[in-house]
Amino acid sequence: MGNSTVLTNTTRSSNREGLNDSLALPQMKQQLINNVVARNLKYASFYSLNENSNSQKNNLNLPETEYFIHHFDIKFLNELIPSSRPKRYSRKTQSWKGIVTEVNEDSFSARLYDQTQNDTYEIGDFEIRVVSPEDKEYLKIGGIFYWSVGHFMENGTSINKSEIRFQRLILLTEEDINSAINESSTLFGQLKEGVIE
Amino acid sequence: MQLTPEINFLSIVVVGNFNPIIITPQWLALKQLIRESESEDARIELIHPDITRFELDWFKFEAQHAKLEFTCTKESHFVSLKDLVLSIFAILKETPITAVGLNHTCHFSLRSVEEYINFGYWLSPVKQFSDVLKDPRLIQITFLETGNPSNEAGTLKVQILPSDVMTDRKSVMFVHNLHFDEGSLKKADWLINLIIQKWDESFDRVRKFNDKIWEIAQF
Amino acid sequence: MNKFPPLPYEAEVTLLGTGGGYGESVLLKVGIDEWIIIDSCIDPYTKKPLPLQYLEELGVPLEKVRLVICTHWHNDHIIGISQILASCLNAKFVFSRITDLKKFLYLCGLDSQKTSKGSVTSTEEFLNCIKIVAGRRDYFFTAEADKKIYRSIVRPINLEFELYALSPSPKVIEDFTGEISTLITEYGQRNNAIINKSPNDKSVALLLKFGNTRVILGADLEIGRDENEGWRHIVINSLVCDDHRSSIFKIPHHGSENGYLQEVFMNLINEDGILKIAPFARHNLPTDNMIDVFSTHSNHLYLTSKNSISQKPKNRDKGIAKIAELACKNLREVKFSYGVIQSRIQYTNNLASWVTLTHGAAFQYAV
Repeated sequence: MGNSTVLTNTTRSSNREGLNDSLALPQMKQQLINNVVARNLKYASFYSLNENSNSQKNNLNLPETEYFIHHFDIKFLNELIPSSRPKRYSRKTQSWKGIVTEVNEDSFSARLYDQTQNDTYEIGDFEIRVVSPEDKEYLKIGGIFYWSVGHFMENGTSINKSEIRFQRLILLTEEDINSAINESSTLFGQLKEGVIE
Repeated sequence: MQLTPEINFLSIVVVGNFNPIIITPQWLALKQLIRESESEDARIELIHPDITRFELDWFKFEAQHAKLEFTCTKESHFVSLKDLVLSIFAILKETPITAVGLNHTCHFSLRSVEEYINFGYWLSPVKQFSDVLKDPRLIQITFLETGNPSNEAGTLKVQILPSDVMTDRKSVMFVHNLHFDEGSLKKADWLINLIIQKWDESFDRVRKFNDKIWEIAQF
Repeated sequence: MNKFPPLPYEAEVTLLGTGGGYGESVLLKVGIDEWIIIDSCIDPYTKKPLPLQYLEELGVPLEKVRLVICTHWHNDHIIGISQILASCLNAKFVFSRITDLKKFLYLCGLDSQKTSKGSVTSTEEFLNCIKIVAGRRDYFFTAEADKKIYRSIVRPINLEFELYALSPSPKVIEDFTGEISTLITEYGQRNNAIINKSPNDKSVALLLKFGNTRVILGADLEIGRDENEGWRHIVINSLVCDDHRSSIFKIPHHGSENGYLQEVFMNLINEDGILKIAPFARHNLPTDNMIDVFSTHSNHLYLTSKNSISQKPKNRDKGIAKIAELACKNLREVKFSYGVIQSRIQYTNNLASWVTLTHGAAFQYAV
C-alpha cells in the first residue's frame, strides 16, 4: 500500500471514472474496505494521495497508511460497505402502549393498550427499576410508554426480553402553539351560546 | 391455508433533497429523540457529506442526497420508528420531499421444501419452460398495482422472493412497497400528515395481500 | 328489558353501564317522543356508542334525540359522544359551564396538536362536539347550578317536563379557570396525556321534573370540600329542588364514599326509591360497605354489573405471558361488562309507579 499510484489524484472537480478504474484491483479495494471499517471512521473525508502530491500530503501531516478519496461515487461506496443481513430482529412479540396513572416510590401503575388487540385494555403495576435511567424524566402521570415483550434474535442467539421505552416526541413548537391559538380563536368565534326559555 | 409472518421488518423511505450529514446519532440524542447511551453505542459505518449510515439496537439509518431510509427489524419498535421519523421531520420542516415509501417485509416459513417449490410453481408457470431450462424454478416475482386513480391512496408493489433471514430453503419473504408520490416538491408537513393517516392503513393493506395469497395459494 | 320503544305517554330513565373503563350513559325519554342522552359509553369491541345501539334496538329514530349532555370534558367519561352528536342531527349540545371557554378550547387545541405528531389526546371527544356545533352553526348550551337546560310540554294534557342542572356551583366554575392554566402548563407537552385528577366537582348533576315526579341523576359529582361545592352546595343552596322527592336516583361516582352524602338521601330522595349504580370495577366501586349503606336507604338497589375486576390478563401465548409477568405485576384486563337498568312510568297516571327491568350484566341487589 506504500505504492499509492493505485489511487488517482483527484481534485474537487474530480475524475470519478478514473477513481473507479484505479480501484478495480480487488485486493486493493478489499484492503481499503478493511481500513475504513476496522477503524470505524466517523468522518471519512476521502481524498487522494499519490507520489506526485507529497507536498499536499506533508501539508496535511497525514500518516502513510491513510488513504483518502475525494468525492467518491455512491455506487462504489455501496460496494465498499454493503448493507448486511439483519443480525438483530424480533420473532414473537407482544406490545402495549401504556399511560402512567400513578407513580409511587418504587413502582408505578399504568393503563395498557394491547397493540395487537384493539379492544379492552389492561392495567398493571411495574417496578421503577424496569425503567431506563435515561427515561426516568418521562416517568410521570400521563407519561406515555411502549412496553414490548417477547423473543428476539441477537447475533444468532434467541433472547427473551421485556423492554419499556418512553415515547419521545419533539416538544410543541412555537408554530404548534400559534396554530392552537389561531384554531381555538377561530372556533370560539364561530360559537354561539343559547338560552333555554 | 393461513400463514402469519414469522418475522416482520418495516422501513420508511423518504425521497427528496437532503444533506446526509445532518442526521447522526449525536444529533438525535441532542434533540432527545433517542437515549444518549444509544447514541454512544451506535454502530457507525460512515458519516460523510454524500452518505451516512449507522445502526442502533432497534433501527438502521441510511442517508444519501436523494433518499433517507429508516429500517426497523423489531416489530415491537415499529411505532417508535414512526415517532422518530415524525419528530425528525417536525424539526427539519423545510426539507423538500417528493415521495415516501412505507415498506413492510414479511417472512413466512412454509411447511416443507416441497411446499416452497410448489408455491413457486403456483405463482408462475415456469414448468412450461422445462424443455429449454433444466428444472426451472421461480426466484422472484413482482406485483405492481396500477389501478389507483389518485396517488393519495399510494401504489403497492409486492416482491416475493426467498427469505434472506430464514435461510432454511423453505421460507419466503414478501417485500411490500407502498409508495406515495404526488409528483411535486412538498414540505415536511405533507410527510408527517401522510405517515399519521396512512400508518395503520399500510399494515391493513399488507395483511390483506398476505391473507389473500395464502388463501388462494395451491401447493 | 323491553326491546320496544316506550309508549307516547311513558317516560323512561335508563342507565347503561360497562363495568367501568368504557364509560356510562343515561337516556331519558320525555314528552311524547323526545330523547335526551347524557354522556356516552362504547362497546370496546365494535367501538360503537352504546346509547345509539340502545336506541336502534328499540327502533327509536335518532332525530328524536333533542339533547346531548356532556357532564365531563375528559375522553374517559364521554368516549363516543361526538359520534352520538354527529348522528343525532336535531340534538343540541350541553356541557358544564366554563367561564373562559376560549382558553379551554386552546387547551383542547394544544392537546389536538399532540395527535398531529403521534401522541394521544384526552379532549378529542369534547373538541369534536364543539366542532360539530360550529359546523352546524348551531347554539351550544351550558349547565350550571339551578339552570334549566330543557323544557317540553305535552299537549293537550299540558304536562311540563323540565330538566335542571344542579351543578357545577359558581365557585367550582370560577376555580376551573385557574385549573385550565395548570393543565396547559403541566400537560401541554407532547409526551404526556392529560390524566384528569378532578373532573368530578365540575360534573353536571341533573334534576328531571314532570308532574310530581322527580328524578335525580348524580353523574360523578362528589360531596365537595365545603358548602360551596358538590352535593354540599346542592343540599344547602339548590333553588330548584322542592318538596317532591326523587323516585329514581342515579347514585353519583359509582357509589363511592366520596359521592355519598346522607343529607341527599334524607332531603332529596324517596325512601325506598329506585337507586341505580354504574360500578367502576377497576377501582372496586362501589365497595361492599357502601352497598350495605345504600341498602339501608332502599330495597330497590340496582347495579349495571358486578363491582369486581378480573384478576387475569387477556388471553395470550403462554410464553409471552410468562415474560410479561416478570416485568408487570398484576396485569389484569378491564373487562367490558354491559348492563342496562331500564325504568318506565306512565306519566298520565298519577297512581302509576316505575317499572324497572334489567338486561345483560345488570341486576337488582338482593338485600
